[in-house]
Amino acid sequence: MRGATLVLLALALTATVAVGEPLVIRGARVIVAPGKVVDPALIVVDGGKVKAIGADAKEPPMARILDASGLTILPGFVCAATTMGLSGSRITRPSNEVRVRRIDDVDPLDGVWESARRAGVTTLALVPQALGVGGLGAIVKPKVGTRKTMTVRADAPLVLGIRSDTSSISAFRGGLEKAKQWIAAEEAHRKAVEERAKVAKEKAAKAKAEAAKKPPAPTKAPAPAAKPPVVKPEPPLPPKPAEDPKIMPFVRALRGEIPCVVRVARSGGTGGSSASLVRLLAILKDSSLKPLVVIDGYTAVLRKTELKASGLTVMISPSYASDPRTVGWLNPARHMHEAGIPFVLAPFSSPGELRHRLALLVKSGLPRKVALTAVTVHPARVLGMEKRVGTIRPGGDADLVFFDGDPLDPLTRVVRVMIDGATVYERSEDKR
Amino acid sequence: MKSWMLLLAALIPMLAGSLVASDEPKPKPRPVKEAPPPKPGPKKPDPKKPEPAKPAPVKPAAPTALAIIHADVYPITSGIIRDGTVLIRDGKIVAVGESVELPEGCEIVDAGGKPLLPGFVAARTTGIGLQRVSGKIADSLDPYDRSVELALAAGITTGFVSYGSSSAVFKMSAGKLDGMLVKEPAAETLTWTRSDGNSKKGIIDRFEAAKKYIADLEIYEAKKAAGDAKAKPPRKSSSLASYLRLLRGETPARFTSARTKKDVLACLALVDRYRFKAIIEGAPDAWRVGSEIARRGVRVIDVPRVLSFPDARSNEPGGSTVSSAARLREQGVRFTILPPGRGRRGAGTGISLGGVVGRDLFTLTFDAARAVSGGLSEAAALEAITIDAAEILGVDDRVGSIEPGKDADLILMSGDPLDYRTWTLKAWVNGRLAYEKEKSRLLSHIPVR
Repeated sequence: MRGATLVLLALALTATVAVGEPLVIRGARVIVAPGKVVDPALIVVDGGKVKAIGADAKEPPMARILDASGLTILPGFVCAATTMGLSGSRITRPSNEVRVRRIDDVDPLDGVWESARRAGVTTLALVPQALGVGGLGAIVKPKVGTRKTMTVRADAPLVLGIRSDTSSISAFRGGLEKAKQWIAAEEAHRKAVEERAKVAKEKAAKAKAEAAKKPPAPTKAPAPAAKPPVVKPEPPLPPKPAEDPKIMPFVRALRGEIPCVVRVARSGGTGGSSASLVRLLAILKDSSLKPLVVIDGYTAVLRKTELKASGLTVMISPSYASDPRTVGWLNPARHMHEAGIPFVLAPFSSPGELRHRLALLVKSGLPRKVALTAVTVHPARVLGMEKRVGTIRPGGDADLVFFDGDPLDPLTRVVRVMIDGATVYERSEDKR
Repeated sequence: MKSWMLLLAALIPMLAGSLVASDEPKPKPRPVKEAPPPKPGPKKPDPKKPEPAKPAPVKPAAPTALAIIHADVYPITSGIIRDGTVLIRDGKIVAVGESVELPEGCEIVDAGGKPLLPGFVAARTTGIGLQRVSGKIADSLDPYDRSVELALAAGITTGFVSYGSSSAVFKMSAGKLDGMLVKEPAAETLTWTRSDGNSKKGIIDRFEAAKKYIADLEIYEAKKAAGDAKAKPPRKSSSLASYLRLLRGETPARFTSARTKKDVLACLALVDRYRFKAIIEGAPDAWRVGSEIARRGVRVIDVPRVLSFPDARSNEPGGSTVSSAARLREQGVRFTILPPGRGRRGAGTGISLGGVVGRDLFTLTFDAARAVSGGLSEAAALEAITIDAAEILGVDDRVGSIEPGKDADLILMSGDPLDYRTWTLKAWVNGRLAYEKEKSRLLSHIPVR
């Protein structure tokens, strides 16, 4: 642990040195998005953001130069739901509490962040195992520093869990129903206020117009007469609903302001977790909630048709799934790809395994581009961060991973990792 | 009374003999060793072997010999032979080289310039090719288990397995029980470090008892040889069997609980005390005392994918890194590589069916590649999972390289052996085609790049 702390300190030093002046990264082969390569490219980084990227981007004066010839740069991997770093918040029974914030469990000195950096994972949504309502997850970047510097969002995603049992379903449905009622009440209130404002505005406009109609007569005499003689008592406005912290996360999720992740609880047997999934889809049918559905690969393959119809994005483990019907096994990622269901892949616990597992899936027939999309573009989208992470784009976060070869090849090593333009990992300084 | 004693005396060696015999499904591998005495020059083709005279092309259709031609042959123990030929007969490799004279009527497989390697050797497997184990592993082997096919797809043709006190080396001879078992018992698991004083005392007591038994047996045999009819054979306790094998050098010990440098040194001290063959399995700190390990001829099993922290109570650098394998090699340690796996016993390493569902059955070459990314040469990484692994399992006289006289356990790969996209196209075990990707129910749909 002491060693780990020293490494962290060393990295903290490099990190502080790196921020500040603009940085130009030259000569690398840059995969700006899966399937889109600029080679060689110039990346201009300033203030933690990518300012420019391209074969002929303009170099700013007075910039630090980083020669990355021979290296391949990829946007940092995004993990759309993981229990990493959440060892303190194990949920063992259905809960119905939305106010629990998972960010409070984050220990910035946890070794798992170092593993994430080493693996090139630069954005993680911390989502506990949950049944019913699992509270608020957190979106973090595994930077060296404090919980505060790591935090991207402490109020998202909304974490829900479903299993085909009454307690988890009622918690789930109850939250959504209350939020819908809240939204209805709030909309009624807002509409009434708007209506009143409109009426008042029209009235004022009318008065103004009337006043404008007769400019030649600025006599003071008619003015008091023009005033409405009787003040009508206004009808009471529908009350504005109170911002109940138990309901607000649902409201924000329904409105698409925060992402939502639903874990479909695993169950055994040849049906997998089909029963839970089908209930979830029924609840979501007429809802504006578009959560990321975390599900086991076998069920995902079984319920391809339903998932495809729902238009939802699923998250599966980057591994084979066993098929209890045939005692064979499946490559769920390939099935999702072939069915046209958007999916994300994320390591549940150990980030170091991610590339290894992707390599195995690609070896087993998943197109490379699809595999990379499932760990960059899609997870960034489901977290509502597509403008910041998942691709290398001007204005986006400078979260860059430098490889010394094909990113999927086990022979390749991560040479350097940048988060928000600061170097957080250097292979040459890694003791592992 | 006397005649009864004599009978017993005669029976003991007989019994021992029969035990050994029953461990081997076929005659002992001795004849194999004798067959290739002209081994010194395996680098060069040896086409002038007396074999070509023997074949009987007049005999019924079934060809007795198989030639794999136009292959990039990786003999492992010598340099790569481009566009080479390997000739197989009766389950053994007969000749290897650029130009091998093919006997008449021999079956020919054109490798189309693809790499041909000796099958990989996994120094630990869990649940591969086994039915429920109780007692002897030989009685539990199942060549029809799908995991055997999957292991072959990963290029693995030989594996080690241990359950409780049983252990064996076996082959992935898919569909054929005959020739599946190579060796049983194959190793003794020793939990020396991390056990309490009582268990340690138990181990020492048994070592001492076994030592005494061997000494007494020698005295008894000397007496007997001198014609002393009154000599009594020492009593043999069944609990000493594994210790006797260790002391006699028949099987190696596997230290599965060593973690830190101190642990490794403690194991080495035990090796010094009783002089037995030993393997240190999955110790993150082994590389720190590599020269000590090498000096004693102790072998190591490295797990490059596990990056463990250094010992918290130590101020020295430690823990495992991707460079551990390269450092072991620099210090002259002979080692093999395994994926982390999740074996139920032992050090939690190895190839397992748990691996099929996500982990480690297909990743032995990935892990070797990982060691390469840590500084090991590609050739050394391939040696580690073939000949070195075979040597560690004590079966290098039969498998682990492509040399005349060795078992014809060969894999034809679709590309560079350490490239992650490479699949095994064909695998031969004991000279028999045991796997063909094209015909595999589980894998034929996967395109090969």
